[in-house]
Amino acid sequence: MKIRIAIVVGWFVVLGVVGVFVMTRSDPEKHAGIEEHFKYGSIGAEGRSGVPASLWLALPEVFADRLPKGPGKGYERVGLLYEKGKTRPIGTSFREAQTGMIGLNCAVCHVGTLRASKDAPRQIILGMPANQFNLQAYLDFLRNIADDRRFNADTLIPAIKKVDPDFSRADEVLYRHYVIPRTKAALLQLRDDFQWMDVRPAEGPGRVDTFNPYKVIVGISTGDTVGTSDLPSIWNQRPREGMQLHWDGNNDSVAERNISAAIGAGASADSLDEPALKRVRDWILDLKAPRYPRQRIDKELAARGEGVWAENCAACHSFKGKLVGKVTPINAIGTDRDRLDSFTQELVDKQGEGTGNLPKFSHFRKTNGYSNQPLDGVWLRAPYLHNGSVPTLEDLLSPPAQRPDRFYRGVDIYDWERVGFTSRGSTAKRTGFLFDTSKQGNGNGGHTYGTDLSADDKRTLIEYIKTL
Amino acid sequence: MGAAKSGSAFVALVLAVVVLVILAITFRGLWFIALPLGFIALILAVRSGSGPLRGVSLVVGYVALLLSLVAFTGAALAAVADISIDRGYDVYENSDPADQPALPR
Repeated sequence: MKIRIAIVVGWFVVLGVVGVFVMTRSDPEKHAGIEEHFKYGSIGAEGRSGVPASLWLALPEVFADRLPKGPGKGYERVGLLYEKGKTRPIGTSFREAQTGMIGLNCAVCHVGTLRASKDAPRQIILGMPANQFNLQAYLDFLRNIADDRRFNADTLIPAIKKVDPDFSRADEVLYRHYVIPRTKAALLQLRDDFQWMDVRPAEGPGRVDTFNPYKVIVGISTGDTVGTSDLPSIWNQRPREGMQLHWDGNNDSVAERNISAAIGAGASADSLDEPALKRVRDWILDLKAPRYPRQRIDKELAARGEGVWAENCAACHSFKGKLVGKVTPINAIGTDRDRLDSFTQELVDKQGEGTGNLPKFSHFRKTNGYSNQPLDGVWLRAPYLHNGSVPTLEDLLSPPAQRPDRFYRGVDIYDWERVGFTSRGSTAKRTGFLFDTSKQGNGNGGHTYGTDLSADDKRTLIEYIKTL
Repeated sequence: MGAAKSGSAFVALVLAVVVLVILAITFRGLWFIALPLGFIALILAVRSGSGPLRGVSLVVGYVALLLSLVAFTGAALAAVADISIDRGYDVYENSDPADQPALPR
């Protein structure tokens, strides 16, 4: 009997040791270079919102009909960017845990593309708003497949074997009995948690509703607010320290803003990989904005425009401006107020408590307007205003009534004439997302500064802004 | 006494095999049956070693112990998996794609 008891005890000791090893395993894919780390490194999002890697790779094969129609294949259809020789798109990370998991990272929202003309090669620009990425379409894809009849082991495992040659017999058992049903349950939960999105205007590429997902996490109502706004650039963060960050200026700490953004990418207080995030933070402190092509700037005009800029724009939009990084009240700026109203004092209070497995935040506050942003690299930050409702600089300097009320966004061909991305014409219509300024949260009014300048002053001002 | 011990080893062996069959067919589906049966099999397998056993009985006892350990562990894993998966959704309920709204925008 003693021998048998010893066997039983030994069995459970070994199981315990193996169990602790398996359950605590968390090995992110490592990248020595900071740019590779930014594009493909983990910030810890896999822990809360990751999808099992082999399954994630197979999903677009099985559910191709669930992806938006458009150019590219697989996840390219939601705007994720693939580099040559890579199996995963930019903005995705891998972490080996109980099973390999894929999550999102900072680059998914902060890497964009540019083409100088329709036939020009695509340039991938780090730190730029992801003008092509449709986060809502990606989430909708995952939400829609959750209760699709094909979401079962018999259908998915053969597909996984096709895309993942390393998928073993042991993986198959694990996936069949645990990973696939657990993922399905998680996606059904995602479907229900994000139902609030279904009754709001489509966000389209390059935009995100930043704070309504937070409300779901902390358990408060999203109400009928629409917080959809443009993805920002993330270069030159050092001079932004202390400024009122986010579109409504609700946080003045770059570090805390970064953590908040990492939560938005899917991390939680428990899963956040702070050293990995710090690497990105240190890098973007001094990451420079790409310059507008020099040969496309009329130097004489730009020189003349500097004075117009100094007189009309610099106070709010120059790094040294008196009002830069400060909030202009909504009554003064007059732009669409939905994004402002979507961030509430109730949410500030919850963020301070650290509920819902969020870190405790201490720098968030409720403001009454929108923050004046420095305009470094502004040529790549089109469309303009916080909600991306004005396609080009030329349109922004036009009175609101003359700004386009419908245009296309998500096209990466540059419009060198109007200064912004191509937003009209047949190519834009074929590949872009139709943005309708009459929808809630999409208003293109307000920010009338400079709209009464003479045509010549506007021309010189735009030429100068290209140099920022 | 020896016959009784040999008998409990045999019962443990049968129970362990039953549990393994349940797990092979349903895994998480019937863990609430498999877990107590596996536990009983394990207890019987351990207790069957309290007297002098020889020959076939000894072998049956150790085989029962080994299988009941595997069965109990498998049932426990099935229970953990099922509890971990459960979020109030029926993960085997599927709808036809044609019945669903085309949400991707």
